[in-house]
This record gives sequence, C-alpha cells and structure tokens, in this order.
Amino acid sequence: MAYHNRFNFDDPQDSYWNENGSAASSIFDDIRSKQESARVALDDLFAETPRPAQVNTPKPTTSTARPQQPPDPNRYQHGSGYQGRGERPTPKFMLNEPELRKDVSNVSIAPSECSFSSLPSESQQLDLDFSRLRAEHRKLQRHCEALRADRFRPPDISETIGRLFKNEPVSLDLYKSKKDKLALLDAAISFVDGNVILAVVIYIQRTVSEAIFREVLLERPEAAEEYVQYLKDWGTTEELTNVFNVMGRTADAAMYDFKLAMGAKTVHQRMAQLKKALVASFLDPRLSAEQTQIHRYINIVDRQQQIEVADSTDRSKKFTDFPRHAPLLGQPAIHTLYYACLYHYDSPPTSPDSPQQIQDLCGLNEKQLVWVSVGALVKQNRWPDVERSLSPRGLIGAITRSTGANLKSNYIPMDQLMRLIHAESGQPPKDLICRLLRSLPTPEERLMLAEKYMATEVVIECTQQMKERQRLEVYTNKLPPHSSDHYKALAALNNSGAKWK
Amino acid sequence: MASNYDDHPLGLLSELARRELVHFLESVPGRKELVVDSSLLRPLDRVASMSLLKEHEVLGVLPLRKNATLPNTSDVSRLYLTRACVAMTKEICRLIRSDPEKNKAIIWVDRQLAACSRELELQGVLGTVIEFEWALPFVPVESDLFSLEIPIEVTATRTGDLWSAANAIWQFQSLYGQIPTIYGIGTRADKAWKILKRLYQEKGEPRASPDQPVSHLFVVDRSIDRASIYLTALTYESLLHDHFGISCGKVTFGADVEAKTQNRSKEKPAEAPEAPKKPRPVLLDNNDAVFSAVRNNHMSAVFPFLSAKAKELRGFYDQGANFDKVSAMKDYISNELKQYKQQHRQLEVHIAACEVVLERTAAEGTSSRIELEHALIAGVADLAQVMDYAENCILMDNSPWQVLLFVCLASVTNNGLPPKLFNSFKDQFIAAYGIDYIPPLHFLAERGLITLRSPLQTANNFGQSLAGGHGSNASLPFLIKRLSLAPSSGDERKTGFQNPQKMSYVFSGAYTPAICQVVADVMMHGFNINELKKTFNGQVFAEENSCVPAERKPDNRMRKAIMVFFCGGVTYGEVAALRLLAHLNSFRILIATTNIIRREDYLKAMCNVSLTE
Repeated sequence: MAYHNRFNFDDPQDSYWNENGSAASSIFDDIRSKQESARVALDDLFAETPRPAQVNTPKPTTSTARPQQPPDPNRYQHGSGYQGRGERPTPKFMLNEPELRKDVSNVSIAPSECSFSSLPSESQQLDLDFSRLRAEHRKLQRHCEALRADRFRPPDISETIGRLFKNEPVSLDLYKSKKDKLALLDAAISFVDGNVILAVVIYIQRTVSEAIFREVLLERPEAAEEYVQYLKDWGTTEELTNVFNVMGRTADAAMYDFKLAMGAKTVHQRMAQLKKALVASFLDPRLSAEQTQIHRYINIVDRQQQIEVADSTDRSKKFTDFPRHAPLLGQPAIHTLYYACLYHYDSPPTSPDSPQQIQDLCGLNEKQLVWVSVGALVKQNRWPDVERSLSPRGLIGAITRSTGANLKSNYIPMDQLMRLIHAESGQPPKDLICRLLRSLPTPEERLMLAEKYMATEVVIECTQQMKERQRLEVYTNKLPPHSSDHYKALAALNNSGAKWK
Repeated sequence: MASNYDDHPLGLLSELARRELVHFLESVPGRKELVVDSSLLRPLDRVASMSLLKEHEVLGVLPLRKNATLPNTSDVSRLYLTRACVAMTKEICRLIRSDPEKNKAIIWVDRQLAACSRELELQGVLGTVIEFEWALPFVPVESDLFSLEIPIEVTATRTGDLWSAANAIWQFQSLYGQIPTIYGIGTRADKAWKILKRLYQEKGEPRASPDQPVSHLFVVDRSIDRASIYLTALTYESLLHDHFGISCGKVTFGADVEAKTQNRSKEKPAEAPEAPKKPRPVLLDNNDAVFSAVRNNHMSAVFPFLSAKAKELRGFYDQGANFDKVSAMKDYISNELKQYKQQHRQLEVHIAACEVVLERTAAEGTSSRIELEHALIAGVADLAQVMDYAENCILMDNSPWQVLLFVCLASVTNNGLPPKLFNSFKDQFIAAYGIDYIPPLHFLAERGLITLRSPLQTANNFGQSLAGGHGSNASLPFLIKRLSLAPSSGDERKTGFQNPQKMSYVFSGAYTPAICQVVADVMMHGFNINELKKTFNGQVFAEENSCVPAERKPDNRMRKAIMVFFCGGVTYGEVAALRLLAHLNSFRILIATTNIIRREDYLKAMCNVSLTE
C-alpha cells in the first residue's frame, strides 16, 4: 500500500510536486528524448485513454527519487541489461514520472500560446498556472484510479510475453483461467524462445492439476521438450520418468532409469537396480534388443563373481607372471573373455571359467574369440597355441598343421595380426611370421609387411619374384651387420643363379 | 572505423563488451575476485585482458568447478561469471550460502534464464545478490573466424543457443548497420530468424549504414550437413583440433609432443632455449608464421613445406656465420636472428605435433578408414566390408567415439544399415565397450544418425529420409547428387593438394562440404530460392533490406564481405574450404559460428553424454 500512500493527490504536501529537482534522471538520458517522451505522456493523459507504457523508452525509475526506499545497487540498467529483477513491476504511471515533471516546468516558464504583446501579468500567470495544474491534477487522478483498478487485472498476453522475452519482471499469477494459461503458452511458443516457453510451463505446472498439465504437454511438444530438458538439468528423477511415460516416450524413460542404475556406486547395487529397471521400464517390445543385452550382462557379472572368488585364492604362477591390475567384476564381455584366455586357457571346455564357456555365455562370435585369444596368448608367448587358434578348426585345420602348409587368418587382417603378435613383449618366431606372410595373395603386400617386420626370408623371395634387386639392397643395409639375416640377404644378392632385372 | 576494420574486424563488438564488463566491475565497489565458469575462461581472455581486469581492482580469476571450494578471502567481493545453466547456478548457490556475508554479484553471460532464476529463488539467494547480464559478442578467434563459444551440449541438441545467436546478430547489426541481404537455410536458421524478428520488435530495428562491412549474410543450420563432421578432414588445423582440441585459438599439446620438442632441444642445447616442463597452451594464429602457412594445408602438403622451411632457416643461420664485417654481423644479430629463432621454435613445435598426429593416425589404421569413407561418400562401398572394418576397430580397442563416427557415416550414406549388420554391430560394440553404451546407441538411433534401414527403403532410394526425429533434413545421398558434392570420376580426386583449386581438398577430394558448396553456388550464380527449397525441403528464406534484389549474386568489386553464420557449429574443415573459396574468388568471407565443432564432442553431445566423463 506504500504505493497508494505515496500518490495521495488530495494532499498536495504529499505528492511528487514537492520533489522538484531531485536527481531523478539517469545518466543515459538526454533532455530531448525526455522532452519528447514527456510530451507523449502528457498527450496520453489528455487523451484519457490508458495506453501501454512507452516500450521504447524503458527509463529506469530511479529509486533515489523515492525517499521511502534506500538506494539499491541492484537497480543498474544499461541497454539490454539488468532490469531490477525480483521487484513488483513498476506501474506505467511511474514510468513517466520524471519526464512529466520536466514538462510541467517547461509549461510554467514558457507559455507557448501567448503572443509577445499580450504577456499576462504575474498574478494572471500564476492564476493560469494554477488552473492548468488543477486540470492536470484531475486528469492524473483519474488516470491513477483507473490504473489502480487495473492493477489486478491480467495485462495483455502479448505484453506479458514480451516482457518475459526481455527478461523483465512480470507476474503471471493473474492469469487464472485455463484458457488464459493456454493462450499464454501458445503465445510463448510462437515466440520460439525456449526460455519464455519454460517460464510459462513452470507457471502452469505450479497452478494446474497433474492430469491437466500432462494433457497440455501432450498437445504441445515444444513445451514438453523444454520441460523435459529442465527436469533433466534439475535431476528430478521421478517426475521425469512420469513425464516420459505419460508422453509415450517409454524408451527415453528406460534409458534414463538405466543411466541411474549404472550410476550406482558398487557393482552389487548396480545389479540390483538393473534388475529392477528391467522389470519396470524395459517392457517395450522395441527395447527387446537392449533387454537381452542387459540380461546377458547380468549373467556375465554372475559368472565373474564365481571366477573372482575362485581366483582370489589362486596363487599359481600365471597370476604372479601377469598380476591382475583391476578387478574383473563389472567388465564388459570382451574383457572377460580376455581374462579367461589369459588365466584359464587350459581349463577344460566344460569348466565355467574356460574361454569356450565365456564365449557361449556372452554370445560372442568366432572372430572375437580368435582375436582375443591371440592377443592373450601372445602376451604369454605361447606361440604354438597362437598358431592353433589361427588355423581353422576341425579336420582341415589338423591337416594344414601337420603338413606345415601356409597358415591363413580368416578373421584378422594381416597388418593388424602382425601388429597384434608384435605387441608389447611379443617375440614371435620368424618361422611363424614367414608362414603367415606367405598366405598373402600379392607379392607387393607381402613385401611391404615383410620389410616392416623384418621377415628376411620373405623379403628375399618377394624381391626375387618381383625382380627388384635395388629394394633388397636397401633392405640389407638396414639389417644389423654380421647377423644371420644379413648374411642370408647378402647371399641372395650375390647369388648368380637369381635373375635380376 | 573503415581503416581499422582490416586489422580488427568486428572490433567494436569486443570493445562494447569490454566496456560493459568494466562497468559491471566498477559497479561493485572495492577489491574483488572473478569466479569464472571454466568454459568461459578463454573467451573472457580474448575480450578482456588480465591487465585490464587488474586495473579495475580484480585480484584474481578463479575457475568455477563442480564441488570445488574457493580460498577464503575476507573483504574481497566476489563476482561470478557464468552461462545461465542449472548446474552452474546450483554451484553458485552452494558457494554463496557457504559464505553469506560476502559481497557478491553474478554476471550472466548472454542472459538470465527462467530455470536459473527459479533455482536462485528456491535456494533463497535471490535478492541477496546483484545480477548483471552480459551479452558476449562474437569472440574473434582469427581475423576471419568468430565464435560465440557456446558449449556443444547446448548447440547440438537444445534450443538455448538460438537466442544467443539471434542476439549476436542483432548486436552486430546495431553497431555496424543493417545487413543488406540475408539468406537462411534449415530449421534452426529459421527459428533463430524468428527470434531475431522479435528482438527487432523489442529492442529496435537496426538502421542501414553505408559503412556496413558485410553485404550478404548466410544463416545456415549445421544439421543440414553432418557428413562434414563424420568425415576425416585432413587439413593440418582440423587434425590438430581432432587430436589435441583447439579451444579459442589455443591448444595444449599432450605429453608426447612436449617430449619430442624437449628431446630436440636437448640435442641442440645451444640453439633452442629450455623447453617448459609443464604443458603450456600454445597460441595458434596467423602471427605464428609457420602455422599460418600450413594451417589450411592438406596433411600431405604439410611435411614438404615444413622441411623446406627448415632448410631455409638453416640457410639463414649459415648466412650468419659468413659475415666479414662486424657491423653486418651486429645488424644480423640484433634484427634478424631473433626472428629466425622464433620461427625455429615454431617450426619445432609444429614438426613435433605433425609427427605425433601421424603416429596416432597410423596406430589407428586411419588410412584404410579414409579409403572406406571415400567409398561410402561415392556410394560404391561394400557395406559388409565397411562393417567388418568397424568390427576390427572395436577389437583393436580404438576409441569408441571414432568407431561410432565412422558407422554414422556408413548409416547416413546408405539411408540406414540393413538389420543384420545393424544388430551385429550393436552386439559387438556393447560386448567390447560395455553396456554403458546402450543409451548412446539408443540416442543415435533416435536422432537418425545410426539407424535401421526400413524395409521400404533401399540404399539407392534418393529422396527424403523417413527415419528419426531429425528426418526433416534432406538425406545425404540426395544432397550429394543434387549439389554434386562428390566428384564424378576418380581422376579429379588426386590432383593438387599442394595447391588446391577445389574445396573438396579438405577431404582429399572426395567430398565438398555441402554448406560451402551452397555458398559457392550463390557466389557464382546468385540465390535461386526455388531450387534451394527443393534441395532443403523448403526451409529456406531470403530477405532483402536494400534495393539490390536478393537473387543477384554478390559482387566482389563492392569490397564488402560475405558472412556465413553456422547455427550449431562449424568444423575446421569447412573453415578451410571457405577460406579457399574466398581466396580463389577474391572475396572476403567472415565465418561466424555458435561454436567450433570437435567431432568426438559433437557425437557425445548427440548421445547426451557429458563431455567430462
């Protein structure tokens, strides 16, 4: 009610008329624009039609003009800047207050309609001034009353949204009817700006029942999108899952539950929550693939637990040779398989920790098994086993092995296989490399890899085949002198039987 | 202004922002410290230097991190500088409540948001703190590249950046005058434009000015061409960005590069000064003579240049040994030697960086990847072989995001993957990287990046893609055909990476970035709105604010620039392509963007994965 008291026009002692000369203007104002806007304001009053405040001159109604309030540092304003947030919206009338005063003083000093010859005497002038002021006072009073009556009527929707868009303080609480609220939301959506939409959505969410709010969201996807984003940022789990489910976005709800479950601290908690999520949110048939994957993962973790219990007491040599760095629990399928290949390669195929069993459990294919087991075997320097796992299984494999024919890797491209068997501590036998390389179809490919991995025999063969003596010479120079490879290469170069170009 | 423009294009924007910031600093009396959202540190540095801050009694700049505590300093006011987001607001509320007596203020970058204001209100902080809004303008990353540096999570999936984009364009126009001709392509461009129209209403319409340096503005939606993100661009700058992450024109090389430069300096202790122990951000811009020469070069042309440069430097050093007059020697040492030394240092850094990039790409088997990428773009790839390669990458334990990028490309070029390959890929991916990747794969499918090919479609079905929420974009095969983005014959490709004549050189000649191609077409033939509407599903607009019809092509004799604004981010590949375009046609092209995309981060944002994880 302070507002009311301040503008008690019946008491001239208590009105702004007494406040002449206070430092009311802001630094950014120039007199001219002030005058103009004051003129507009005055015209307004005489026209007696309340029209919206001048949007293009958002003058700071400086608090220093009002002795009731201490100067507030909050009230900085600059172009697009801050707008005294968190306070009541300033009434329109106030907005033009300083300008008005200026205008009044103008009028009193220079009465424009008087001609030079008929200058009124001083007392006449005073009289004139008084009646003019009196008339103005009445207008203002009426205007003020109209405003006071309008105070609790909702302002025009586009004006409200415009203020929201500019981040100016505005009250939405006056829009009580559902129709108004929806109109407000639609106007916000037509503004495109997400922030405005969200502000209205939050208001609606606060003031209508849940059922109606859901309905609103269902009808307006833009609004729903902003609300969902807001809830995500906010971290309000239950509400978010509800909204997803109501809107038929079951997959999103499931993913959200899943993420929450995976965020659990220990593996045991994670398992419990995953099982719960599986029952609660992964029922949608479109998520069947994900469901199987999670089931599989739960089974893997069960198996990992068994293996972990058994291995933690095992003090055999392999565990000291290759100490375990991280617990197995919770690792993905491929890592589990690698673990099995590293520590349990020799377990009988029926034992739960054998690679074959892990492969079945995780639904891994042959390619993955070969690739991972080669990696693990190389690490242990078990070259015959590497060879065995590379060659095809069954009868044909047995024959190729016994005859020592060329090995062939069906699953791993040769360059990657080479890198794999040269990884870390790997010192593969030359013979194996040569046999592998010979399986490559073109001599050019063979030569490239052979040079890279120093397979001298293959290099000699290929250069002879391709008749590139030069290349062999270059290669020979790179070999350490007096090594057996060096001698071999030299012998090939000096071999008069070979036909070079 | 006109004369100053070439040195500092759009300099007024930074100037205005600087003054505004100073104003905020001054309106909080006394000594103060600035607590800055860590993503804003570098942009802040570009706008306001530390010395300027010190002039206004700022004692220090501290990064705002999650759950970090700040040193307790009494009688020092605290200013928080952050983008409006709920997480940061929560953090600020926590800090404010832990020390309620302190004098504090929040400077919201761009603007305060309803969600943040609600958080402040709920935490009871609202009203106890002074709030400012600071519209961060285009940050000049390079003399032709401007970025709003909005975090990629916002630009990739949300709508929050649209207002900032519109506001930045409004700001630019209000300082430099209305842009005469404006073209827009894509949904986000359209939305940003709607917001800009509202800004005109609320904040006033800019006036036309003869000094306006930009004659044409293109507002383009990033998502109309995602292929430029999935493809491996082979310019030096874009490779550096992929491997080390350039942020706001600065890069922090990893330990391996540092080690290499240190080794070198040990070998020649007399020539090179002691290399720093701690990795230190290196500024990459045109002041670095070596970098400015190679930044847009195709990788195959970088090493020849660097070694030529090294030889040249050698020559200069030798020259120093051959002086017979003392005065000449003196002159040489005082003037030229310093410059050579500096170039030497730069050369050293870039050679080391190049080597590391090549080592890493070799380890990941990038060459076969690039071959397959090119085959995919040309539409001649065998999908089984492509997916086999992806499986190998998975088994080689390459970065999962790189694998996903590759598979995204395979999916968009083929209008989705056949069910068998799709399911087996998913299974293998999850088996290797863990079930944590279930949600990312789901979101990729939902957004139409890696999708199942629906039974109605075939790989060669040109037309509109039906799949996914973002399916309103034209499908990639359709775009490639319509804008002829891929060269028709193989011979065209392998020519001239040393001295490129075609924008497609950034992807080794296999693909011209679609957005750049559109800009080039308009430059050559004018803006044909009906054709473009057919290409981009009707989401195209043109606006003329001058007597020149929008259809007419830009004229380089007017000596005005063309500005291309990427709504949703730009890649360095596209930047290089546009630079080449400008160079070949003697135009000036200014590139403005909401942010610069690092492709892994883009994909993470698309998967709703937080980048810090």
